[in-house]
Amino acid sequence: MLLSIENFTVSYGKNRVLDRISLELPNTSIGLLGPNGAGKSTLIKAILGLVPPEAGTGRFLNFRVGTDDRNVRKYVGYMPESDCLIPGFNAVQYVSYCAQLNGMEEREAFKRAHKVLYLAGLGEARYRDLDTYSAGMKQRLKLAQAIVHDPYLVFLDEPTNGLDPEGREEMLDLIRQIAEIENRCVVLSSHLMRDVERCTKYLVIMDKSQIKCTGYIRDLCAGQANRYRLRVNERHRGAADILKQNGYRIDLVHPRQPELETTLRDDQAPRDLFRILINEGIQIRKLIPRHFTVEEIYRKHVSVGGDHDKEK
Amino acid sequence: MTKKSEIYAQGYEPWEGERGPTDPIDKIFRHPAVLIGRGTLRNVSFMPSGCFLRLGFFILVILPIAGYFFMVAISSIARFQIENLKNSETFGDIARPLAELWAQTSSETTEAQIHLATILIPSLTFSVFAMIFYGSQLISREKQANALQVYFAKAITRADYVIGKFMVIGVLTGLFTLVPSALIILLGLVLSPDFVEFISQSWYVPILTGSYWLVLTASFGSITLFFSACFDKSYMAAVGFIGFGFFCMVSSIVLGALFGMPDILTGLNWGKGIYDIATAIFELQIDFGSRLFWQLVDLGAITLLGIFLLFKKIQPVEVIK
Repeated sequence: MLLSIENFTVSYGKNRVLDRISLELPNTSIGLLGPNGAGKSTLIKAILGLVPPEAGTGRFLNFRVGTDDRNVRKYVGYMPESDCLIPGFNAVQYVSYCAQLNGMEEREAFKRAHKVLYLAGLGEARYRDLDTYSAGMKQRLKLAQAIVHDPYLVFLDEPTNGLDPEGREEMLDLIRQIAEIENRCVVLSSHLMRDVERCTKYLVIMDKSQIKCTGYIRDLCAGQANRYRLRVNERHRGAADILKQNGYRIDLVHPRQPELETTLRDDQAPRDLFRILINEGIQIRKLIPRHFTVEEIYRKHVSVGGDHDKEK
Repeated sequence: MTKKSEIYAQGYEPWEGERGPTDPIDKIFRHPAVLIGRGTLRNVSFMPSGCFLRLGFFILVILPIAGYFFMVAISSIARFQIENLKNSETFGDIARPLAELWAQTSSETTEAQIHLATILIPSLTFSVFAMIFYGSQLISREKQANALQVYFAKAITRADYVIGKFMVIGVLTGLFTLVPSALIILLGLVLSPDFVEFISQSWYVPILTGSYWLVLTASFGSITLFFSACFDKSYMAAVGFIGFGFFCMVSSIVLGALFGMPDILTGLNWGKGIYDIATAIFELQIDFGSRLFWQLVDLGAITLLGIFLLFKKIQPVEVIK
């Protein structure tokens, strides 16, 4: 594991923002999902040492999180959510200065700053005063300063905020490419599930100051072995009624397509569906094991609109 | 075999070098505090924008400072070359009365006292203005731009950040203390008729000037930086700094009037405290039983309190409790 934390607790005054969080992050691309106020940004800041944790321990590489923050930060890149540019610099100076603060030698820092700015799509604007940058350019610049020192772990907090559709696609492409660098880990914190689904392989879902779910997306999405989508030749509503009468749970009846979804109990087998429906003159044309989408996993774990926790 | 990222095709290279300086000299020059100091100096907007402001800046700031350094240089040259000037045809008429005056006072005046007379008032005045116009921006501008979380997401600590800012204060105060002092000594070494005599009289002056510079940097720096960390508008920080000076002066007078001016209350007069301590340093008259002792105690307490509060105010993430 690249990073592990145990019982991390952070409070702002009386308000507990992280409540005894334990988490292990593998060396891959990670999506950190959660509604606003779930504690995603605070978790990142606590790992970076920007917010001191009340309790808990952690380990990143060979360093202890919470006590050895300076060394932790040498190997971590952070792209904050809000605007936070050091005034008075142009882009090259800013990015190379950030690299130097992370221990890089000045000449090397300048060299890498140029390369990273080209990567981030700011090559032509790299000598412009930062005050003249648009919101999208500032996002790109924040990404450049986060990766200039080749960090082992990069935290990206809402990286697509303020970007136009084209810029957003480019940013997501770049994040995906960064995530594919060997032995490097990207944590993409967002409430946009599409972004997370597109760029990451591992999912951490937070809600109400706690971790609700972690795991590889492929495992989480495939974790529905007993749920099936059926496509029948005709009378799909009738087929749903027949299955209901036979004790099957019907999850969804498609309004237009001849499709329905059912979840089998442990004592029910898929072949029984064929037997029951064929007896009624209905043919099953397709029987597809149903996979979750990231959105479904998210909705399963996160209370929406103030509801209390739904079933896990 | 792992799939190579497309990012390499666009020029990205992994960084396998050292993440930090390794040799001892590099450790000093690439220390985070030094980097922060250098970065801040680069970012301080020394020159105001706009034609009229620039003209005003030139007349009110550049000219007096240039005039001061010119006067320091001229007076030192005149002092060291008085014998030659006395005999010159051009400057003889002016130099002869000056030489007589100098001959009367020079036996009682030490080199340190000359430094005191040359440096003290101008350095205090210029430093106050430097704190108001530049010291006040050092943290507030970064606070306004929400840049503190960028700094503290890098491999630096709060102490590095504060020391870096103090280094900038040190440069500003050094410009008006160390530089004129160095100028006088340099001219003395070059122009003094008796080189050995000059060295024997002035070898300790750099130590005294350095001590005064440290006092000025620590005391002005702690208060300026504290106010700069309190506000995200630099003019508010400047107002805070001026207000603090006035508050100290008025409170020491009021409390002194109420309680009969004991030394401990007089010492609360912050500006006067710095002035008296500086005078004592150059006069080499440290009397620990007197008012000076309480001035030192009060100044030390205010400085330490300022530094303590400064550390408390510098938060990478603003938390609304």
